[in-house]
Amino acid sequence: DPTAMRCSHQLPPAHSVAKVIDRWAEEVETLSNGEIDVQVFGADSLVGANENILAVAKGEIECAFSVQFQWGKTLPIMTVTTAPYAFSDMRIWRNWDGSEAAGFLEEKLRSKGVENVVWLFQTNSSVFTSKGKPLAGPEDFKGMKIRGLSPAFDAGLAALGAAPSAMPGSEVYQALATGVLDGALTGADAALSRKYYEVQDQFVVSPVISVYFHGYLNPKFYQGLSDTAKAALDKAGHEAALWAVEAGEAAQQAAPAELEAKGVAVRTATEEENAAMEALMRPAFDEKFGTEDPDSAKLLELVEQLKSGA
Amino acid sequence: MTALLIFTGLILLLLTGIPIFAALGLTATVILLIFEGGIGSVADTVFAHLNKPILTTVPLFVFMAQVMIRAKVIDDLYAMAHTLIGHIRGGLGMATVMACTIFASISGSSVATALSVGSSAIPQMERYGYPRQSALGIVAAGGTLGILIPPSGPMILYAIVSEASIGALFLAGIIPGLLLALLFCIYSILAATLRGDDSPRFAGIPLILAAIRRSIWAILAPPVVMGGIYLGIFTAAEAAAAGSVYALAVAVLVYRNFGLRDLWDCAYASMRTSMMVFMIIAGAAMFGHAITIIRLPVGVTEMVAHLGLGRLGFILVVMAMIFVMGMFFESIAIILITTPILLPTMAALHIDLVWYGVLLMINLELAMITPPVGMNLFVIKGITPAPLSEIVRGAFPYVLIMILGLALLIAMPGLATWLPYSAGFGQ
Amino acid sequence: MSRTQDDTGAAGTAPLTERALTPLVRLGAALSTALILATLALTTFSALMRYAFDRPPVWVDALNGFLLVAIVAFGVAEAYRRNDHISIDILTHALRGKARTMAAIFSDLCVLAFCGVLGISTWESIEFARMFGAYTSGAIEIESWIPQVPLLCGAVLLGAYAFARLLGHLFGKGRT
Ligand code: NA
Ligand code: NA
Repeated sequence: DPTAMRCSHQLPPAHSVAKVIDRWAEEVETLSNGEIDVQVFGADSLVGANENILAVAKGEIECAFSVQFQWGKTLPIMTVTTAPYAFSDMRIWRNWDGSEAAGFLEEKLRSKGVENVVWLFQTNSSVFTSKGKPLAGPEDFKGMKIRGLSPAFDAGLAALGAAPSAMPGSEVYQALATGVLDGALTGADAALSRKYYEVQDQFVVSPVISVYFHGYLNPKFYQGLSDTAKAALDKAGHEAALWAVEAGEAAQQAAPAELEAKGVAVRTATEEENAAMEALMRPAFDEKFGTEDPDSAKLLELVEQLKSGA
Repeated sequence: MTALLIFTGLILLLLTGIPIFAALGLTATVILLIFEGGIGSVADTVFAHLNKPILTTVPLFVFMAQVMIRAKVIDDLYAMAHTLIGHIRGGLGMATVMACTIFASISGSSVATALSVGSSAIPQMERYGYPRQSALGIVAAGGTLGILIPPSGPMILYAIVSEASIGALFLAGIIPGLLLALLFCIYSILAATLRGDDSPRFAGIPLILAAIRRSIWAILAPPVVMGGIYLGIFTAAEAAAAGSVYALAVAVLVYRNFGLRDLWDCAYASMRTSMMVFMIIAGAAMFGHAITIIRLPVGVTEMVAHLGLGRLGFILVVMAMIFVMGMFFESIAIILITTPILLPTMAALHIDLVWYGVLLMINLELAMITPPVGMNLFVIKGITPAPLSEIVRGAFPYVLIMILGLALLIAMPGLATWLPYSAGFGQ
Repeated sequence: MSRTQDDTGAAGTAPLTERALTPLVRLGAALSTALILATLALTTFSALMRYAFDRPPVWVDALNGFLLVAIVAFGVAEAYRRNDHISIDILTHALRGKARTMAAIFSDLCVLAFCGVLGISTWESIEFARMFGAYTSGAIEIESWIPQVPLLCGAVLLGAYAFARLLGHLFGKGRT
């Protein structure tokens, strides 16, 4: 009898990462010769995004995928990649899977109580959207109401003079349409799929944050698997990590042109603009986040190595 | 087979007369114990489904309705509608529908609409010799407009689950809502004609003007609430708070009959009414989690997929299924249980989420007046001494009218989608 | 099938066990009511700060979510005491005498069992979250067991009241 492995995630079925998860699930079933029956429950249908981590750690379900922000204060090191402009180099992500940096985080996750099995890069290219004038340099952000992301990142936004606001995802479109919010920060692909181009006319592509998902298992469940199954998870994990990077890069490259085709103004932020933004945002982020702690410092150092393409 | 056992078990348990939340929760517990061997997920599931800031709209919309009832704002609204069209044959019924329509565009809830209009309208209609059964039916049915005509709490819930735009959904509900109100009015005239009802005399222009002047604060509420949303002053979810503040301001500053004691009583009443909804949300969350983890929804979706229905066939099957569920379940439970199950298939069939959202709302309106579990039937039961069977009989014609409305919407999706799309909302 | 409203004041005719618990239940109800007014104030404050002062408070949304859990937890026993819950009584409303008491006892037991399940599960969940060191994510980052505590209180309060009602049905001659 195959072992059921219930995997919960928060993404809608059409999301590019959700598609990679489905493909990963099939690959795990194939490679394990049917020993594992992967049952994917997307769109918060089984366990909510906020409950995934504990549900897996407790063993109520066997597996879940979370976006890095979800770890928040529970395991802050996971969210280091929200540091503004620190992870914009694409080589970090191409070299990520199997790297020492990845291993470092996997060890952190293991000691916290979950077994990481796959890293799914989503994007390192975000867009700042607005109406009328583009949000490119720090001076453009004064007084702008923008949906926030996490306390540390919001501190960075506030340092620009922006006013971070909280709002459920399903309300953002409406809020942008009516002016409850002045602008948004989102992935370039999400700007398309959420049709922000209908209610915003200025899009500035900027490598401000990197977003990734990762899949993890209940440690007891993982240990109980046969070596074949473990090897299958390992192999499928490496493959899916590449699929995710490919899908992410493809979406990233296609998105600006697709947005332009919708008749809105799209531009890529210049090096100078990014540097000016980083100069203001990073200190505020670092102060709130506490990036100088030894673990964060070590991770940032390991990430540096990835840039050299080792 | 498992599905059949589970639903039979649930229905049997419900029939023993225990609270619905307990029946849902205990059925879920049995499923979890048999298939999972533990109840560890219960707390997190319940917590996750209640820890939703947007759910505060439920008590706030009820609170707003309570304030308007207590300050007698609604009495003036109903009196205005009555003075204006009461003299037409069937006019008392039409006045009720009109008051419901206006109040629906203030309130996000059908319960609040039925509760507030019903408490003014039923005694009035009885006083003028309107048949009691018809009076009960039209309030129960008219009240359901509360969730179709924006703002709407259930639409917000559906939007959360489906990620459809709340603004687009709100706009999409307007034409179908008015259409149903029109159908209710037509029926009211027909029924009154068949009964040979007498009508009160025409009130005269001066009285009508005076009534409109008195009810102006109620009539101004919809533009305040909805206008605030579309002018970018507050979000759809904040509309309930804005409506409450408006109602409080009108009660305290204009009607001057509202003190701290009234404030507390309204909040207390809103707490009690909201608890009915929230307890079912908790039970439905447990039940939904239990059947999801044993993959019942996946099985249902696969079964539907195997039937190879087209878009129309799928919609018809789903609507029939929700209608049946609507007899037993409360609307919030239906949204939360069915939407996630159906989303993948809807995406595959390219079904418009806004259109479906409106179909779902009309079907949920139906659910509120179909026995044995119908929230608006219970509300009317709560405010009148009438037996439930009489209310059910009174509401029955409207079940047929709403099915007609549903059929019209299925045949002509533009009735729902035209407004949001011409307003520039995404498709 | 009804939402049996019992506005005549259950306390007057209720058995001693129920009467003894009523003050506690009403205290919960008052807390729940106050929290509803608090969410109204918070939501209004948030809209005002954003629209009029361009300083949106990011924490209001998250706090409202936690408060909602507390509103339910503290109010649920009162709603049960006032018989505000919805049940389907097509079969049971015709029952009289002993059969009616039996049905009431079964109902009490079911609510008690529900509370047991919720209470035990919440207790375990709180214990595990503390052991794991889990924090809520989002605008308010606190230890994740804290906002779950009201749920435990709610299960205990409702359970206690259902138990009191059960004792009343078993041993009292009070109303059914
Ligand atoms: Na409404
Ligand atoms: Na029903």
